[in-house]
Amino acid sequence: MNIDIRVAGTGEDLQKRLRLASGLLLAHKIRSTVRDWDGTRCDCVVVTGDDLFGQRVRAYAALKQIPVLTITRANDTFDPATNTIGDGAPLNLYVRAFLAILQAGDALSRARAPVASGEDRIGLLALSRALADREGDLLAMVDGIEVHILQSSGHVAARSQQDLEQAKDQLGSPGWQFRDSNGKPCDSCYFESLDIFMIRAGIRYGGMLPAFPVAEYRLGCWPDLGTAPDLVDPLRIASLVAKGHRSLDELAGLTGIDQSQVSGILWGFRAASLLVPEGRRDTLASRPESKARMPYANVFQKLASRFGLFQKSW
Amino acid sequence: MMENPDSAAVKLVIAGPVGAGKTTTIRSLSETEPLSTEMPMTEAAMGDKTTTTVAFDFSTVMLDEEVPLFIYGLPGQSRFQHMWPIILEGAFGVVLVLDARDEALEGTCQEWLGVLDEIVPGLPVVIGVTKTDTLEAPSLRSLRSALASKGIVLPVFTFDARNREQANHVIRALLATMA
Ligand SMILES: Nc1nc2c(ncn2[C@@H]2O[C@H](COP(=O)(O)OP(=O)(O)OP(=O)(O)O)[C@@H](O)[C@H]2O)c(=O)[nH]1
Ligand SMILES: [Mg+2]
Repeated sequence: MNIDIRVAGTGEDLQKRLRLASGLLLAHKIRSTVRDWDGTRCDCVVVTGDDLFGQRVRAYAALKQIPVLTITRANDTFDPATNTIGDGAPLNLYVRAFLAILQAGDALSRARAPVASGEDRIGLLALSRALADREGDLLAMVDGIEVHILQSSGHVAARSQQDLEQAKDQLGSPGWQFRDSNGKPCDSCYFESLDIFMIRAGIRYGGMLPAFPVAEYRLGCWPDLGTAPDLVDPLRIASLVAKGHRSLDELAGLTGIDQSQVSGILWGFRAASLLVPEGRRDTLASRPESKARMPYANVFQKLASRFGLFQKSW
Repeated sequence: MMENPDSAAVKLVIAGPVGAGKTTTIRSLSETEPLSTEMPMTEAAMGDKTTTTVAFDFSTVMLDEEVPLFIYGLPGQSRFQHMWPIILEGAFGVVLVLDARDEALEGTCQEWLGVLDEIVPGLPVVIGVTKTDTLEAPSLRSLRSALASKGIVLPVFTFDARNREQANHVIRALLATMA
């Protein structure tokens, strides 16, 4: 992957120097491009600190958490504390400046990491497979958007809510790529619950997905849907899977939920790591014989309808 | 002492440590303001203190025109533990409310599950973790893996106890485990 360096109004001469420095980055096995700033996301934006435009771009970049290299006329040195470099500084200092800035973000590891190309045509499936045998966190990329799948904490995170929404729109599409995440997403990331993110995706794209092989799994964990009170069907599916119902037919029949939706919800469970392969029997405690007084069926019906257990999720 | 409730009553108990959000949950679930019943305590129950009062929460929600659901809050302090079996008697399920900011969350949770299971073995329980809104990136992972390592599979919901819809959803999860 190329490192995307952008230049905001720094003049012809300087642009040439930056291109030369960019070429020298190859010696560090880093491919980079230098282009004009167009306001979109990039790995580093170079601005002149002495003019108003440069200052505006710098403020905007700070807001978007885009690393900035500031050019000043004051001297010919590089100050790593402020990422400021003098316009007369030698090329090798520019190279050092880029390396320092890129190292601070995680652009470098991304540029160097082998990127597995997603052959799966549906983002959610590709994601689900990429997560399948992984305990750690994953960085998922689509359309220049990065989504951190933080299995360690149960979140998804992106630079902004807008990024996350865009990523959701892509979960039915191809083009996703993945690599290990270093676990540290952006500093002021936008977070969402991993369970809710995946289950909503499963519901949304259920119709496009293959039938989920539910017989191969059991419920390892209930989804945390506490902050998504509109998601009722996934609760009912979780309950039945927990009780050992293992076919889509059965699950659809018992709930009255469309089979492709049941399957979609299960894909969501899988991507959120809520299902464990049936073969892997951990300590499965059998709960003691219940001494609780179960409500009579008609009372249960009243409870269920009062609290809306059977209402449709969508 | 509190009277044994009517054996036909439909009863739900909200349990959990002091300050976790039990009263708030009950208030969110209720259509009317819950009652707090003041109870005189015996000398024995209180150790060296002779008198005190404890407020436990009580509220009703009508399931239809005739059938009320009684919701009880279990007084959190362990010195009121002697009341717990009485309050839990006949309940169809429990919401165990825990505070996400509790640094010993897993321990607190397992302690409570242990106590509840001792009083009413096999009682359906869901866990509602409150106050995650006060944390930057709250995580259930360690609580989940603590439960999973014991083979316990039950709903663990993060929710805002002040939010009616979310409190209702926790009850739905409880009902889902029983469906
Ligand atoms: N921010 C936030 N505050 C909450 C939440 N749940 C409860 N609180 C607050 O936490 C405080 C304690 O809640 P209570 O409902 O009184 O706790 P309790 O479990 O009844 O406490 P005791 O009766 O003393 O055992 C109140 O100020 C609530 O408003 C939540 O999800 N988020
Ligand atoms: Mg209270």
